[in-house]
Amino acid sequence: MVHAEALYRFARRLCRDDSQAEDLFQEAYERAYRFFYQFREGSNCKSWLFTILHTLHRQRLRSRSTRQESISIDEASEFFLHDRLLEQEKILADNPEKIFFDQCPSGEIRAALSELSEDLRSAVLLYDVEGFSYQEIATILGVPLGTVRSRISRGRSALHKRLWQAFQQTPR
Amino acid sequence: MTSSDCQKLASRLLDPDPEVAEHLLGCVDCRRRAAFARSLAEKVRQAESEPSLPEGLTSRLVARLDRLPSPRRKSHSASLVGILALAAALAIAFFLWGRPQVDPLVADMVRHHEGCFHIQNTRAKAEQFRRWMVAHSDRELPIPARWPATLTPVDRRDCPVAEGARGPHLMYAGSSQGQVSLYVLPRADLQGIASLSQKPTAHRYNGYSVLVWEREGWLYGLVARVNEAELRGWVALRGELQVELAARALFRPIPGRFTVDGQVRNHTRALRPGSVGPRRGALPLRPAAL
Repeated sequence: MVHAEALYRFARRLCRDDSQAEDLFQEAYERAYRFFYQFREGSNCKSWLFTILHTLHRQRLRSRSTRQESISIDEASEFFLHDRLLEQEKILADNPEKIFFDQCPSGEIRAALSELSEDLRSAVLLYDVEGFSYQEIATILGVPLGTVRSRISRGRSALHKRLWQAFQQTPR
Repeated sequence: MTSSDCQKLASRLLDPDPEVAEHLLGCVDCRRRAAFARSLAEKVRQAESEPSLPEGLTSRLVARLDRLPSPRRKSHSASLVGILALAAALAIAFFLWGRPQVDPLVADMVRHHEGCFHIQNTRAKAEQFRRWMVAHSDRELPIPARWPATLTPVDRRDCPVAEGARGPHLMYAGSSQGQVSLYVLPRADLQGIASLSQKPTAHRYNGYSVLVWEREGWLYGLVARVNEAELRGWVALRGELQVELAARALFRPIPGRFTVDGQVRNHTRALRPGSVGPRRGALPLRPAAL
């Protein structure tokens, strides 16, 4: 099934619940099947499927009025994490980046991502993981291009800060 | 390109344009940052790509889709409905807007033309016209030159023609042409009107033919109850677009009418068309015998 894995990943990230993600995923494909005649030949099918899924998710949130509150993370520089690591260079070792990546499990990164607000998380993941362009993300999320840039930048900054906090707490 | 420029956004380092790439070659600090940003993005990708599709999800999805009716296609019947709807919309549009739209400026000119000939000129209006001529050199006014010999000047006034715009109203009459008006309006006073072509454009309104054109900051309107071809014949064109310049004969004063000093005079000296006309600051006091 075309783009199924990527779409399911995105559904899981949006819902943060496996059963809800599965339901959203199936409904998105069902809608794509029913409205396939609206798909324009030559356009990006993956982007079209992601747009359907994201629209459905937003409709569900609106109907439930249970928009999940995320943990607020103060904004920081997009290089916040790297700057902090460089400050530790003399204490840690010659290569603080390597120490960081060795000690940072995937679970920690997923946890950090899940703490981002849904808007920031979606933008970061669509860009960094799924490899969509800014323009495609703007279409999928239904927001202007500038908003996409801003969300990716803020999302990365917040992610860095959360990962730095986790890194500091890691026993060495 | 500085390190600060590169580091404003991590995405510039992740996906460097040629300028950033060139900077990276010579900057150790930015290369290190770029490497870290790439590694972190890769770590995020790995972390997020771990979960694959749950077992059985694909088959459950296929079963769910199988239960659905066939998806809608662009059928002929749908197309027919679309065509009928479009035809109905066009019919309504034709009913509502089928009649040619009248340019408001054209309508204003015609209405003014119909009314102004019934109003007697006054000294005040004659003085206004004189002042207008003093303020505007006739050299600025490219007036159509090929004027029918049977068409004679009746009057000239300074009239408010369209909203916010006033200018000379040159009035003529001919045995076969009836009453004819030539309006000259300063373009700057007609802000709400889109630019017009330099080439005279014909309009039809209320039984009148109207030619309008624009040139060098002036807007011209020629109104007469004749057919369009005849009206066009009065406006001589040189080459493609140029309207022939100042036919001064058009400004010849009119016998038996008010002149600049408000006196009715008997005019005796004939003016040759194209040779003599109003000078800046003064109208000729001795018009031609027509």
